[in-house]
Amino acid sequence: MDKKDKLGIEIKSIMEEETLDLTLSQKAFDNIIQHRKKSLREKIQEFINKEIEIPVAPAIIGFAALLAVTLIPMDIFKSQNERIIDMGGSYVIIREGFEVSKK
Amino acid sequence: MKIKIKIKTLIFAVFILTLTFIWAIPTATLMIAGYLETKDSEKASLFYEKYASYPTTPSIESKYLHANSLIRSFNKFTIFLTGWGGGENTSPEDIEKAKQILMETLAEKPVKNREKDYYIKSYKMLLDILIASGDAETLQEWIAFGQKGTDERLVYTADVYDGFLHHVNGEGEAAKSIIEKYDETELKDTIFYVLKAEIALFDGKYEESEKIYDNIYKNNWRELGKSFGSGGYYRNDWFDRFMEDFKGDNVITGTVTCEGKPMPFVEIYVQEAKEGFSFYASGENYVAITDVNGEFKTLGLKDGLYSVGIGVDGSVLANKAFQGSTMQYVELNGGDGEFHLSFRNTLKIYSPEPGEKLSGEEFTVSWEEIEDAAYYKVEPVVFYEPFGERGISTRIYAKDKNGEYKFTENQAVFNINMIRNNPYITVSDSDNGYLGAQAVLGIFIPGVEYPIVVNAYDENNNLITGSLPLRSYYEHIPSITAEGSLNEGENFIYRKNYPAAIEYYENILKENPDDIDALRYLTRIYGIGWKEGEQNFERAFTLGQRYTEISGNRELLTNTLGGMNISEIKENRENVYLTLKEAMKEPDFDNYYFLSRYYIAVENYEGAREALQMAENVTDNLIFLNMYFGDYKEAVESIKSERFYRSRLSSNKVKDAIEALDESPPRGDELKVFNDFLLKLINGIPYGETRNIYNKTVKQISNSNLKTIIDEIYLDRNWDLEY
Repeated sequence: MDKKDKLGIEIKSIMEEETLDLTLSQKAFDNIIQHRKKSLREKIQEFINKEIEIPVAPAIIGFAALLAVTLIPMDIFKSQNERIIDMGGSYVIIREGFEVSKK
Repeated sequence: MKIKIKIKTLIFAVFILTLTFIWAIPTATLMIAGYLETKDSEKASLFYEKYASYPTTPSIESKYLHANSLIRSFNKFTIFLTGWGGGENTSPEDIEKAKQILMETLAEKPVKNREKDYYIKSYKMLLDILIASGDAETLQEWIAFGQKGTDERLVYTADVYDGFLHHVNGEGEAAKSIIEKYDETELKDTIFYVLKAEIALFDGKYEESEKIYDNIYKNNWRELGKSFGSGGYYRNDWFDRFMEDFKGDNVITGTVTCEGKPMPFVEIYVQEAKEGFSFYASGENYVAITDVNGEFKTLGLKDGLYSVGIGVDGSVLANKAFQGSTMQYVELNGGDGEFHLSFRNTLKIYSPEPGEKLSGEEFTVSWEEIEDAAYYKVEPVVFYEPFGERGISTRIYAKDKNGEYKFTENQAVFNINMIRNNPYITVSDSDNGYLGAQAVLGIFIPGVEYPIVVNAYDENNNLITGSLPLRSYYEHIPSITAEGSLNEGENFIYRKNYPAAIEYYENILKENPDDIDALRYLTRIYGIGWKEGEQNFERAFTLGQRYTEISGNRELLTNTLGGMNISEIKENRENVYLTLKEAMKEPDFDNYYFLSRYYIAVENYEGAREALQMAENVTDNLIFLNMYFGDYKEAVESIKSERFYRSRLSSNKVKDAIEALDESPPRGDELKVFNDFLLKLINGIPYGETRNIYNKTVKQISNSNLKTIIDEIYLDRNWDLEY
């Protein structure tokens, strides 16, 4: 175990010494950067900074529809006006929107 | 068009949106609901319902707010025998919905204090609804539910409502023991004090009760409007009125039933009979409330003639017809009185259905059979304004195609032409007081909707039940609309351009003197007068008699001229005589009233009396004529008759006075003054002269019995209210 560690340290030291004056071209550098394994954080960063295209009209319509469905009650446009009439001694309530026939 | 957006911006937007949907939208919905509620908008409940539907809103609170918005108030629909109305227009559907919501709410387990507050509010509201809808059985079940609870406020609320139930049932001691149990606790709220005040009131401790109500009014008057399912606990002004006008030692007992079953928690009101009918928009203050057996006993009342009324939640009446009572007024004269009032379930009309169109001439009305009915009448409803606002209306009986109007079977077939040919309504439209088109054209004008009502009567002509509930929705009422169109002349009438209609039909008669439509319409226009002062009786008789000769139909003339007043009959006595002579060959019950007026016009009062004895109902004039002829016994019999519509004149006070006249008849000048007064009544006293005639008459009379009769007539006819 110790032998193996010593060998590793020695190889690393030789590598560092031999590559001390090595200069990489920008292209090679970019290539390495591009192909190296990315960390999760970098992946998230990359994702959230990604630009996407959104069609404006469907987005606005969708949002408005969602808002309307959520906020406005279903029967809001159903007329609830009521009139009370006396019909031969009975109290009769005429509800607009419920009339059975019209002239 | 597209926009470029970074995903992190999009995520931020979604976060904001989520926040909007979780918090901002429910909050906005609640605010809108609250705003609409302050504006008394019916739509408030829709927003409360929406608010309750969000998964993020507090469940118990939102459901309570929704239920509360459906009910709004417990103001009662007030029914006196002389009229009815008022109350909150909560539909039976909304009452049921509110009950369901509250029952669901009460199945939840509140944890936070705010939730517990709304839980108690929901519980209280459910009990209030059950009282308002007269559901004593379910009320008892829910009181038991509360009493088994672990929350002390829940148990307290259940106990107070239990106390109310005991109080209503006349179990005073049990009710008082609940008051004592909580009197020293911090749990007391408005309902506790209302119950305490009511117990004191019905114990005869008026001052104590008034004091408690004064305190409630000072501290929390708003709560009074929703206590124990009633809006009638605003008693602060009531005490003065009651002490001054009503307080005494006699009580009225009685029952309120529907189909013979008790109606619990019905409020009982009294008014002085002379007041006619009025009700307070915020609800009356009751002098009794029915117990679980539908029985009541009022507070002590002083001697007098009372109009007794009831108050119930309007939703209760959606399927009930008012059957009436054993009497119109209750008389207290040194003793107690009784008053019974009953409802029946409405009878069902199978045909027609609401909004039915009629393309042919005939239609069938069929209805549910009522076990104890002797006969039925079919009564189309005629609105004075056929289209539009549908204001004043009247119900008329319809004759079937065989000319019958009392039906023993449970169906009848009608021909609209027959009904049109015999118009027997005289309606004036609001515009300029012109004669309404339907008075000339008859009913079932093409395109006009006519609701159909069926009533069932017993053998004494008392209404048993009918198809029209005391309170209903128009769209539920069966109706007939005839198809077709009006011709040119009929359009003149329809538009109330009567001069043009007269010219049009007179021109037709020049070419064809036997044109049946022209004869019919002109008889009506001339006979009734298309506006005041425009009658031409001579022409109406001429054309009407020709119409009778051609058609064999005598009814047009009698229907048209039956409305003539005494002086008009006097001026046209020959023609009226001829018309009646024809009509009496096959007399209709209406003809007897017309005949009696003819005899009055020619001063044959004995003839008038005989004619009225043959009529379907006993009228005031028959009673006056009996007294005029000194036949006091017969006058009392007329008053006692089942056929007399009960009024002030049917009170024991009047009967006793007339019976006393029989034993000791008035003589001399006083009798002459009294008989002159009766004759004036029989002939009809012009509006505006009534009070003068009364004052002049009573000044000349010292006989207490005669005075009593005259006074009661004065009050019965509301002459004291004339100006």
